[in-house]
Amino acid sequence: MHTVELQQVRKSYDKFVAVKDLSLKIEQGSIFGLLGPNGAGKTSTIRMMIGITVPDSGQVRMFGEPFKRDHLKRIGYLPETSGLYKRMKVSEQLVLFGQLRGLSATDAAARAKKWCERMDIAGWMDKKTEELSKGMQQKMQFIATLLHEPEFLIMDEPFSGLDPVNATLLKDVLLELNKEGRTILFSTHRMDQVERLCSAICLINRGEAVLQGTLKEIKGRYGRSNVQIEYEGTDEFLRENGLIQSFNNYGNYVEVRLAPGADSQKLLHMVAERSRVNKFELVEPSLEDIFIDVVGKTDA
Amino acid sequence: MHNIFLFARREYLETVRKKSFIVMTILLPAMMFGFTVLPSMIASKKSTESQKIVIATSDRQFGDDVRDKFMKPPEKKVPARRGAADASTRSFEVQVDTNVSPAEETVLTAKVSSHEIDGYLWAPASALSERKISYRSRASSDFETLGALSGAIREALLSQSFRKHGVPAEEVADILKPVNIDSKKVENGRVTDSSGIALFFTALLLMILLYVTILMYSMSVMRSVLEEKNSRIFEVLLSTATSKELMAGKILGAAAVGITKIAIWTLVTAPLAAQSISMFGESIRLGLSIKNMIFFGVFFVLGFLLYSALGAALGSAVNSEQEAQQFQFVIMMPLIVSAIFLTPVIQQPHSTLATVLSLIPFCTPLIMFTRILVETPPAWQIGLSLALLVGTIYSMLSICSRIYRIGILMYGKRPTLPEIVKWMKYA
Repeated sequence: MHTVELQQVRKSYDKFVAVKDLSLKIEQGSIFGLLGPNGAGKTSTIRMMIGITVPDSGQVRMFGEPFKRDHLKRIGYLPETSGLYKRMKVSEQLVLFGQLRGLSATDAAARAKKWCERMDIAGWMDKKTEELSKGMQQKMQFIATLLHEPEFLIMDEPFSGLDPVNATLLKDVLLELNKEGRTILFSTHRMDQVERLCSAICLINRGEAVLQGTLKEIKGRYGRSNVQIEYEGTDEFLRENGLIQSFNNYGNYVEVRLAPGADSQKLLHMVAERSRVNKFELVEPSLEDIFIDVVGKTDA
Repeated sequence: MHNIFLFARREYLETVRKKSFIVMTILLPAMMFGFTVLPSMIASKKSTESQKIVIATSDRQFGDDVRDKFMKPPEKKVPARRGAADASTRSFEVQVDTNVSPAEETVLTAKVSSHEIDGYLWAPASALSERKISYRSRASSDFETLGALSGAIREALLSQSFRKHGVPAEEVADILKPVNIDSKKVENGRVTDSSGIALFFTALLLMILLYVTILMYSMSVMRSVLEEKNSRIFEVLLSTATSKELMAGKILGAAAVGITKIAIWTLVTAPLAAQSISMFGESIRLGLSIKNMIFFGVFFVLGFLLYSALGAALGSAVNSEQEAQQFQFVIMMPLIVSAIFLTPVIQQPHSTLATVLSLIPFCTPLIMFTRILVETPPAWQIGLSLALLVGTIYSMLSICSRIYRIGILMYGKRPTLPEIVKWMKYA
């Protein structure tokens, strides 16, 4: 079953088309990445998913049936920027959000306490929200989306503003929730962050899906056409043409994208001739590489 | 319904817990009391310092007359002759000087300069015949003394000419006795004891209370919507509740704040309301019957609801505090119009102007309430105005929730009027 199914969904604001006939399916229990640069239409898509806006055309299906407001109690949405009342106490605010999603006040309070302990902000529950740091507010917002134990979690840039320790904490919690069978949607422009988490993705650019499928399938499509080289000495080999389509040079380390049909062994010889090679590895392209490749083609 | 309650409670608690709520709830009536009642209380207190005045006139009889009339306490406090009434509460020392030579004029002027006396009345024979008397003092704008003096002079001159025509002194006093008109309100076929001037001040007092509070809270609702918009709380909220629930909660919360305020004011002022306050020589009982208090509550809360809804609509249509300030006039205009027409409405509460204004929902809270205070309008008019008010509040609410819903999702650029109209039709 699919948790979410968008069918030819379209949304325009005046003359600007934010989402152009987008279709996608999110498998139940999967971690799905909705990826794309700023302004690609990610947030507009999410808003239609949860009924904040209504699509101009097309259909949104949720949990196997046409979207209805009742579904919202089974969804948790973490918005991109903090959406909290600044002057409310942390505990009161969490209880309010829990109640809005149908929990009783006592239930909400108990769950809020448990989660605050887990997320390491239990000591701040009696403080006003505005006294919390940005990272702590992000964690608080995260808790607010989880309190009602939703089946489907929408995370819009969840790691922004978090240090590595807290980002890992958040990631671990999300993976745990996913293991329990909950579906998770990541929306981000930081592709490296979700590359390792997602099982399927949809890449959108200018409101259109430019690439979608499971991560395995997509990467397989591109093959091991990238080479990572660690070298000492000259980087003249980068100027040898015919073999290299593009590269990203970091000094002693370079990532090379081979030209179609080019033989990686030829390149290895060429590098070894003039420099000392410490590492030469054929790898799958990163999502970012694929994205740049795809978007470069569609924009051209 | 559950969500509306949750939002209303949140809104209510946040407002009531603010220090500004407590301060304004107590400070506003205190300030109004200070501005209206206190000055007259201070003025009516006897001044310990007496003023020294010299009456310089060639006519000794005239001088004595003026002094007697000026010093004599009036038989009854008459609001229309404020000067005399007020002068009696201050103490004066009056001397009559029959020397009106130019040299004496110079001496008296010097005495005024050196604070020996406070002022002198210069009335030589020529000035008396021309009836052009001058009063010279350091404080030439002391209208109360001036008014009292001119009253005394007029009486002195009148009694002088009556005497010349052979009218006996007792008759003169009788002729000059002032007329006192006591204005009473007729209500339900009975003459009540609430006087006209008391009604006027009660109306004014409550109007200011309504005006300031409504203005303040509609702005505060506007700001709260703006805050939600800018911090994107709405995104979280709209993923659980509808914009109508959100709006209704917000506005009901504001109304609860209004009711709390009235409750506090009633508790604090109830013992005071029955007491008389002396103002302008008139003993005033605030015309606050139970009926009027109930009407005040009703119009206060409905006005609160209406203007909160208007504030919320504005808050969701603009993007920043600066922009919001430019649109504040939309809220203030009807309130200002009501305030401008207050005096004509009080004077002629049954006029077409008053009737029409009181039926315009945005003016109803202030104008209809004033009309009720001054002269109870026909029941159908009160009923109609209430129905229109409630109807407008309801439609404002649904218009607002539409503007809110779409306005908040369209941040970035200021909406044009046609766009706002389009939003109202949408969704």
